[in-house]
Amino acid sequence: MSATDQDVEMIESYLDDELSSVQVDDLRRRLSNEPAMQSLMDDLRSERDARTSVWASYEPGNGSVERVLKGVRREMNRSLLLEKVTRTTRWAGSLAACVALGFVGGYLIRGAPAQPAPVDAPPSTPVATTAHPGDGAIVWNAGAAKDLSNPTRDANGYLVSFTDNQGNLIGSQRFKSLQEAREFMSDFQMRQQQHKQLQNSGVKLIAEEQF
Amino acid sequence: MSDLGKPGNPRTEDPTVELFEKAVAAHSKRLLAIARAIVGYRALPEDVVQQAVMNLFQHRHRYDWREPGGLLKRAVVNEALRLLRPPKMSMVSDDQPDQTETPIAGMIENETTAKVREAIAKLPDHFRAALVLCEYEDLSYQQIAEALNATVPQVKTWIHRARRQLEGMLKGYVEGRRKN
Repeated sequence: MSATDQDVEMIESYLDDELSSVQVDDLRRRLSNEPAMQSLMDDLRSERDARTSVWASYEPGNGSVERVLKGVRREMNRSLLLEKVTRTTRWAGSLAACVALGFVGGYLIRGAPAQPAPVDAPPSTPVATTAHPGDGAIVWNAGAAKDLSNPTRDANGYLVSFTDNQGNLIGSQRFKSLQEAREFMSDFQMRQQQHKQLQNSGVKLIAEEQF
Repeated sequence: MSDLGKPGNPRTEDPTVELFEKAVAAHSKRLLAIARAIVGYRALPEDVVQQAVMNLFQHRHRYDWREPGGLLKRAVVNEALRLLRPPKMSMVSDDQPDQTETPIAGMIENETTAKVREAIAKLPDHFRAALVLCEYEDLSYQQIAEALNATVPQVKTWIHRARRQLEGMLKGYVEGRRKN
């Protein structure tokens, strides 16, 4: 780089206010002692002034500023609306995902729901009965006996009859005394309740105790 | 005038929005001038400024909007240079509607200004951008380097070479005027 180029750079840096204080002092000494340097400074200043008027000519009028501000505001509104929609969609999606996870988790933990118990008992099968006084042997199928009749009195004692869902007589039992008949009926009804409870829990009872 | 920054703006849920609006309203004139100086007639300065500003808006929460001057200038300069990158934009228009909007602007548009403007438009994009930020925005070499993502020595070189090229382009015109 020639001395002249270095001088030009130094003067331009001085005009740009980029020289250190030492460099400024050095330049000012040269400007006062070297007319060529001063002439160069004047030329560079003149070129700079010409450009200053060009920079000023680039400044827009109010109309241009208004157009930009209007455009920016329009785009801002659009952007804010999109942000709001995105936020709402994300929130709804997260909520739906949580609910779905809750259902799936609950299903996996609890398992499939239990099958409901049948409403009607299966049709009964005839049961052999004994009707000897004092003989209390009874055998019946679980759920077969639906109803008990009130004890009826005859010459041989008290008779308790069993009927199924359809009202068919499926058995009877004779007792010496009314007290025994009633105790039996109470006992039977309790057993019947126990049968129902077992059925509802899904357990199938084939035979009860023999006595 | 625009209602940006006026009280009662419904978009007050996010305080950054209001700060952003005020910043844009306060700096838009300068930003348009910078954009015009860099892109010349190869793009619309309004588009440059709007795009640059909206790019910042998308990430508004990252910045401090209390002193946004430097940030906005950098954004506009970068957007202007991006638009000027190949494929080259065709000339948009020779029409400068804003030039006739101010009486002073009309008076300034003399022959010398036109010649100098023409020469500036011929400079390489980065040279022109560096020169605009130095002489019009009065930024330091360090600030210009940050705005253009360059080093200080690079910026010094660009500014120096821009001035030398302008001197070369205008030499004949200046000498002619001196003789006259």
